[in-house]
Amino acid sequence: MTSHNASARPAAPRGLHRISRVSRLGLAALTTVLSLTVAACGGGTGGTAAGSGSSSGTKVAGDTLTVAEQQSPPSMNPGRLDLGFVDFTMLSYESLFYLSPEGKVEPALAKSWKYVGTGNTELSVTLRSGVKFADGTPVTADAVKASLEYAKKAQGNQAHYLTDATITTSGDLGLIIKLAKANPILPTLLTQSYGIGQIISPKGLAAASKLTPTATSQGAGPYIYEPSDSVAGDHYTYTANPNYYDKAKQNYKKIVIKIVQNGQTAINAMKTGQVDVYKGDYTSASSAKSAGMSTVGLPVILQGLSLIDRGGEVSKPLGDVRVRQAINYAIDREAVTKALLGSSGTPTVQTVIKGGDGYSEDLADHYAYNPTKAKELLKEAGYADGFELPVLAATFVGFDTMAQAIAGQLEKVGIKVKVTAVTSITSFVENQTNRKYPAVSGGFTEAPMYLQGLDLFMPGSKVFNGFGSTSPELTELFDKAAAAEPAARADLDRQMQEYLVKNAWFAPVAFTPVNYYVRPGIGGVKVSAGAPFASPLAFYATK
Amino acid sequence: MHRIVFRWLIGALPVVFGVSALTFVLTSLVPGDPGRTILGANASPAQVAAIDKQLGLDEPLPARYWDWLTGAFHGDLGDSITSGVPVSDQLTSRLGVTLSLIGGAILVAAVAGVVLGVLSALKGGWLGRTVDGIALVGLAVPNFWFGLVLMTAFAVQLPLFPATGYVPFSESPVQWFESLVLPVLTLGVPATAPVAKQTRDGVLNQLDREYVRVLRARGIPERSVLFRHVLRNAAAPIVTVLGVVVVTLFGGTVLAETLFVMPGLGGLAVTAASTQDIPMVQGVALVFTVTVMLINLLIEVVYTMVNPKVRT
Repeated sequence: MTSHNASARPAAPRGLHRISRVSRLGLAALTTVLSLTVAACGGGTGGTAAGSGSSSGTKVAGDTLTVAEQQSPPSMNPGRLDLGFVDFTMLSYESLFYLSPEGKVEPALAKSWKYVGTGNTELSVTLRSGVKFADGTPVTADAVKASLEYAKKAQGNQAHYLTDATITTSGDLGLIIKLAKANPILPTLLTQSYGIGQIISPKGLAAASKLTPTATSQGAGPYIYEPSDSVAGDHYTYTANPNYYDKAKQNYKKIVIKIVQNGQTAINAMKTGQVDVYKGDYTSASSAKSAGMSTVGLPVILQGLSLIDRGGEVSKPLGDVRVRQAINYAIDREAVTKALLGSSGTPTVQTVIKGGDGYSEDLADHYAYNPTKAKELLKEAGYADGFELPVLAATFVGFDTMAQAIAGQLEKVGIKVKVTAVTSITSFVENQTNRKYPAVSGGFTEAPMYLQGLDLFMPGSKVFNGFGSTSPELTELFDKAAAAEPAARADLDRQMQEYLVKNAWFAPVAFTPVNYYVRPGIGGVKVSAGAPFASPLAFYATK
Repeated sequence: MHRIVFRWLIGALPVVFGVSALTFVLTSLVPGDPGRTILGANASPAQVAAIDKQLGLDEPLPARYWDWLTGAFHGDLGDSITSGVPVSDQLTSRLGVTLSLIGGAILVAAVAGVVLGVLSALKGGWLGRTVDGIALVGLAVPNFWFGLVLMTAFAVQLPLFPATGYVPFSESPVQWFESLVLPVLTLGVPATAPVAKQTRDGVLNQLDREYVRVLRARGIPERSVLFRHVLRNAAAPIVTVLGVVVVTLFGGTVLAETLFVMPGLGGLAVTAASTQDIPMVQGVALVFTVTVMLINLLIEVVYTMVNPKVRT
């Protein structure tokens, strides 16, 4: 029934499988259409799920690293910051765990950890001893508990991962996190890739409203944010933290994150040595390559249709699984991908990438282009003459173009797609949840099936499951997988994906990569299916 | 002169008031929700409502405007909704960048424009046609493209100036100058065209006048005819054109700042508008309005000085 291809992947420690960020349709997008463009339209070389690396060479002590990003963060408070901006706080706020470029969860403030008993509902953590915050105060279990509890209440968009958590301490360095519902990847959610895992000192928590770009950071990370050497919205400077516990991880004396909105400007700045690493988009990919930069990226951003009205509330035809399947058969993914994304796109019918959690080789060609079959299915369902399908799209990240391309495909089998394109992310998000549009041309970041459940297809998903679709079968699989041991979970994840594909909850079209452009002389810019976004903490100078 | 300043003050207050009210209303009409902007897509409507309330965004628009206005009268422009940073801090740190850019661009446009205009009027022929050509091209070429060409040529191919960034004058006057050259040229060169064209037309027009023949007949040196009489008489419309150019330069700063990654007010305005950071947008609008009005005052003063007829 399902393939076991994924089991060939290297096992993640402690049953913690791969992770990626939840959809970037978070605030990164709200404030920043362009940051989404980066996320969703990355072009150039798509790597493989095994990961791809940047320049090789001997690691040497680095002086200053300059990373360019497209959008500035709305705050510098890790408890509230959207996922799209975690780079700005991960340098100065050490997290409980560290997500390596290979996608493995490694120790950071936590020295060791384990799930207690079965069912993935209780995590026991032992902190590293002798660690200090940058302000000199010790990192204790009480301090970590306070930070996690703050993150839980701070209303950030990752707070829901901790909503049902009860945190208790056992001694100076012991923590127990109890969950009302199983969560098999809690340590991953408490790595630097998520703001909630970045620990704020008691002093910082005492005045959390002051965690702004004009105040210094209050963490225990390898660097300290220097407001006096920064201009909010322009550049953010970090210098090595003298109190950091592992000097070997301070690869640079200074790190600067510059905001560069224009891709060509960024490439020019890279050519002249002003920028070392840039999260690029497809418009500048060829320019970056011809300028001698290496590119690193994985196709992790999914584009296509979300058929969210699975109960047929506003579009009766969509309530019929045969119609949703017909839509899937009617899309020539190869052609659309080639036309819109060129070599930057990887056609898909699944919501996970090859090598990712829940991927099934058996499903790869499940909806091979077959307009005849699509028409048959429509006829069986009683829509031989087709029907009109309203689709919500946004005018950024190519969502509207994708919607038009899909419309052209569906037209051929009689489905008349009526695209409504909105210009702001906020109204895009609002319209996904107001039950006006039965289908959405959108995108989201590939993630482990557990996170996809929370944020994409389970009833609790606030944005992407706008009609609150629910299925007893899927819920049962999800609950089982959440509580399962890693080996059993892999199979359950594939079964979930199989359910989504066969019941055509989505009509995915293609994955596109997020691309990093890297100047020669920089190492550590790596991504993998488990960590599709490169972490500046891992970057180092080479000779 | 006093009368000009007085008249300006009487006119300025309602304009500032009007612009700030209009900005407030227009910004509030932008679709979206600042609370959603801060919390992100996964936040529940209740969370968004809570943060909107915390920020006072649930108050009616007139009440919010009144709060802002009374604060502004006391010199408090509020805090940024999205970052919590005091608006005045941001404006202060960025004003220097924008003024340096605009000041430099005006200088380029005025000096190059007048020199080119005078030369073309005197030499005529190919130079005149060249000025006309440049004026046309200057109007047609997008600043953005021109800026990228300058950057590629003089920062990447010939590494004479930095490709991006701004160095404050206090840190290093030399680097400050170097960081300004390319963005100032990006803004200033296209602005040269209308000034040059107005200068040429004005000078040609004056040269045709009776008094020029009389002066020449009296044996007044040509240089004196040109600089003491012709140019002075042609100056008034040139000053007016410069005034218009300056106002359009404000729009151009958004582009130059984005392209050359400079922390000025233009970029701030764009970011603030896209995040519905009303206090920040208000602050930038206020600074822009006051600056434009001050420039208008300056233009009027200069105009009065060069055009004796206005003084009577």
